Amino acid sequence: MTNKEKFLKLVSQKETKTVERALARKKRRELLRFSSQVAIKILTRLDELKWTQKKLAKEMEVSPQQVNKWVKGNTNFKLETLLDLGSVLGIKLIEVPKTQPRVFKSDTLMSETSEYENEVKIIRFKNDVEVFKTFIYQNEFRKKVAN
Amino acid sequence: MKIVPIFAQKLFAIQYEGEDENEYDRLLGLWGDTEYLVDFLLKNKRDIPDRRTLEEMANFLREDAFAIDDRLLEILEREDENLSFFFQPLHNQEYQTQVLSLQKGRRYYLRLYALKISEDIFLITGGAIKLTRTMQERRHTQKELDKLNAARDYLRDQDIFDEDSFFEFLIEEL
Repeated sequence: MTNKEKFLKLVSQKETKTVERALARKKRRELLRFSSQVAIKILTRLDELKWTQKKLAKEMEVSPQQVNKWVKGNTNFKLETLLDLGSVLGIKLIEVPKTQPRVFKSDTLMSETSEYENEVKIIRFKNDVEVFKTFIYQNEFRKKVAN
Repeated sequence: MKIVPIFAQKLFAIQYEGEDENEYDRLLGLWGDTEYLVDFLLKNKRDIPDRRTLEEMANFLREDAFAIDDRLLEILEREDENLSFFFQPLHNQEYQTQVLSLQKGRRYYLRLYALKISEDIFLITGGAIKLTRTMQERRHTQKELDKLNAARDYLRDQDIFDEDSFFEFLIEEL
């Protein structure tokens, strides 16, 4: 038996909770992502305003510990809290995307976006591309008719 | 200094004196703490690339930490992958693998630093947010380089030079 095998036998019950933790983070990923995005907005706004977390706590009428919890990026925010925070800080922290009709015209193209962008870009062809094609066709048609 | 197995008995990490967690858990905890990330970026504003805002960088770092978790879970779950696909020599000019080679695992601006014990066994000694070209340029990355060297010296002192002697040492430490 190699030392590795001996060790694995001895240590099987002693592994840390690292894997469990990584899997737990993965499971909560969307919440962590949103919560962290909000926390970044709050922290950068505090920096702009030169406010401390304590000052924000006072304005929000909550404890400084509560504010510190918000900026860790691990909070399941209530809608009301986000709206109040946005109002006190003078920024928008939550927005529901407007519903737009899903019209895919022939002159639009969906393109892949870079790694850090969430939305799909829709690039519009320049109008003259379409006009040019039509022009050629009309000419050929006219030529046929003339023949 | 304590060496603890963290992922499937292939990936090990050091738990330093006075720390509650091993280096992987400690770093992923830090990188998952938005207050820490923004504070780090505010203190290192001069190193943020010109084309990026602080807000963008904080979002990138969070996503990079998620990606490191995912990559390691993926490597350790799949038999056709091994840790050498994630870690690479710290010094780009290292063509021949040295005993206890200094390694880095990277995801854009995040780094995990490790010693290579064998092809699929690594020991994490620390990690950092690296915004500069070299580790020597900033105190926090220089500290990580020092930790790597100190860990290698420690293992050498314990006569660890390969996988077998590494596990022999761990058995003695149990």
